Amino acid sequence: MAAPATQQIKIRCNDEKEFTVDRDVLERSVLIKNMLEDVTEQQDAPIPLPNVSGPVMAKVLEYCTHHRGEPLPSADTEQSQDETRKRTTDISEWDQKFITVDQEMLFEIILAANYLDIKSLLDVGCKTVANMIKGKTPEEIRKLFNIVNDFTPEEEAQIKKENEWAEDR
Amino acid sequence: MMEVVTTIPTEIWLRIFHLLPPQDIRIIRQVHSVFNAYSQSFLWRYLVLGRLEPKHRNQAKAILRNLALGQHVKALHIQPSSWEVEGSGYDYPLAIKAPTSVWTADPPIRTWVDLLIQMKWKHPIRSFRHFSYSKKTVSTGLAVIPHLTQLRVLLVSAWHYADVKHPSPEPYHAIWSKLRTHQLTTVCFSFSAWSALQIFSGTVQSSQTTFPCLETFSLDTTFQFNDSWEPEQFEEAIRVIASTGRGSVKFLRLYHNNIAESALSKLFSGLGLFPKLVQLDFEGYYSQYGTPVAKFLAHHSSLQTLNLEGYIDQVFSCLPTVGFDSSQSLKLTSLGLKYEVKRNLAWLIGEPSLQRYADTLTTLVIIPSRPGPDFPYALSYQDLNRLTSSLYKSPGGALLERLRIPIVHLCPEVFELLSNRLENLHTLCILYHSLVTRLDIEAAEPTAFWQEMKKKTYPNWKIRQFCLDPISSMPSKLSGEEQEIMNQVIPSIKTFDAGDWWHFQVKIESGVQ
Repeated sequence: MAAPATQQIKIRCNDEKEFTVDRDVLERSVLIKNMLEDVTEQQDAPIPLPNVSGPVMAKVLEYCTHHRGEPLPSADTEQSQDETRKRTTDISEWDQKFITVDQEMLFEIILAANYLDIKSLLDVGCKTVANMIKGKTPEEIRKLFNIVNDFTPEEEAQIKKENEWAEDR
Repeated sequence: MMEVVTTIPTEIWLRIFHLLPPQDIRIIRQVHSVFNAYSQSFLWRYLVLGRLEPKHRNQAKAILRNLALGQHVKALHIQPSSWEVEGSGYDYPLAIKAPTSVWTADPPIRTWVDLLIQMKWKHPIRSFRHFSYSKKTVSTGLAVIPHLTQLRVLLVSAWHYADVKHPSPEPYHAIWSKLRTHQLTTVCFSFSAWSALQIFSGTVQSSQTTFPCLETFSLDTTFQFNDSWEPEQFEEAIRVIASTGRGSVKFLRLYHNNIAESALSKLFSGLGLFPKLVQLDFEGYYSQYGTPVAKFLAHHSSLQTLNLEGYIDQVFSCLPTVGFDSSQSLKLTSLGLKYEVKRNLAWLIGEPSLQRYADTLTTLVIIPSRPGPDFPYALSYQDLNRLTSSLYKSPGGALLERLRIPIVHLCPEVFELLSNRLENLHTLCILYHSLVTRLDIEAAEPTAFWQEMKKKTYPNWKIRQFCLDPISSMPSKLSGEEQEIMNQVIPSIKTFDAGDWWHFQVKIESGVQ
């Protein structure tokens, strides 16, 4: 039997930080939704989330609370959303403000969304990173993400040569 | 700082790279060896085969044989390379020589096609685009179609030299009859691929083939080949496409300069051919197109997006005469108008033309058909005042979210007006003839204009995409300093690129993006 929408669920993050959250908010996460459905009896023990820290979970819950009540993507809509995702990097105004965080937090949110299986949040994060990459040079991207160039000069020359074949005509 | 290359899982990087256009994929693979490995599957989504010089043959074979690359190819384009126009020494079979060009023969294209066929090319090509100059290259290029078992998008472009003047149905029949029409979502014939269309429809009709998934159909004949079209045959071809589509077509694009009114009337009077149509793009520069197009609009209440080029006012002025019920029909959410003469603009500004759609309209695109200094017609401040007033007076307020307009003299007051009237705008593109400092000044003073703009601020306006381009030249980005000023004026601006001027047209899906 489905639990009432107002049921409160406790979760515990990897830094021992605990949150008590409405079930419908938490069920934005497919991972947690499946865990709750698997539990037949009501449990008071918090759900452990070993891959998410308290500050990141607070951001994730902010997102889930804002989007609570919105339909979760079904198997059918998933495909069309996937098509849309491929074509656009548009982000809604609220999501844009929400995701305006430092780079460390941005990637933490992406990792959390991936772990918790919150597809819409994962999309927002990935679109944000894609927008950061667009139009930049290789060196600018390295600087942006603090990446060390691991190519030898020969490898770099080879890639540039291959890119000549791959250029738009 | 997090070491992102390896900390972030592969599937997430792939998800991010999927959102990038090909030019950024080429950049990303130069950043790090891990990114280079990840990007392979995106790098080869498009395979563009141009004319192949004999000296490249072995290299081409090596590329085609490399399954690691080929398995990612989703779109195959066969088109002339730049040096085809420049010339390669082959004699053009029809001996047509443009003043500055030497046309090449088709063996190089045939080489590609032969390679693909010989190698039993079975990669999941979803989109095939073929561009050709000669009859032989049309048939040779299209010969690859039967091998494309997962084709969704078909785009055929041909020039009139060989295709129309020397129609030869035989090569097409064999090709079209093997086309898997039941899975096509987009069909586009452009330039003078007339015999291709004619024979295509004939083959389809004779074999009773259907297009159950066809959503986009486009026929683009923007070039003037007045002697090459037979109206009745055209009408029949379109009817075949429409009827075999079983009413699934949602996006229809018809661009013509040379279809007789009688044919167009017959075509558009064939009501019910497109019962699910949501977008119509139509170009027509003959005033007599007004009535047939208006009739079409009057009977397609499902239409949400309408993009018209040419005699816009003729179409709308005909609406009342064809039984158009404005209270029931056409709840347009997007209207694009490419105007030719000042009279077209006058229709737009005149009330209640636009007010009729103010309750639903979220996108309005107005662009000159011939940008350039010799094209004087654009909106004055007073025109803009009337236009926005039409939208603002609607009961629901101004819903408009995207706006593209041409302005004669752009002054800071324009921003004042737009921000007051159109508070929901998130995309704004302004084309202008001159930048002036005040309403009552006509002499262009770009430097002073930017000085004046520095004094303005609209902190609550929600514009995210903004572009400002002179009508007299191609779109260009604002300078860094100008962008900085605009960011102070409208802090919500995220990007200074509002897209292509002409992008209101039906999108021809590539099948791979």
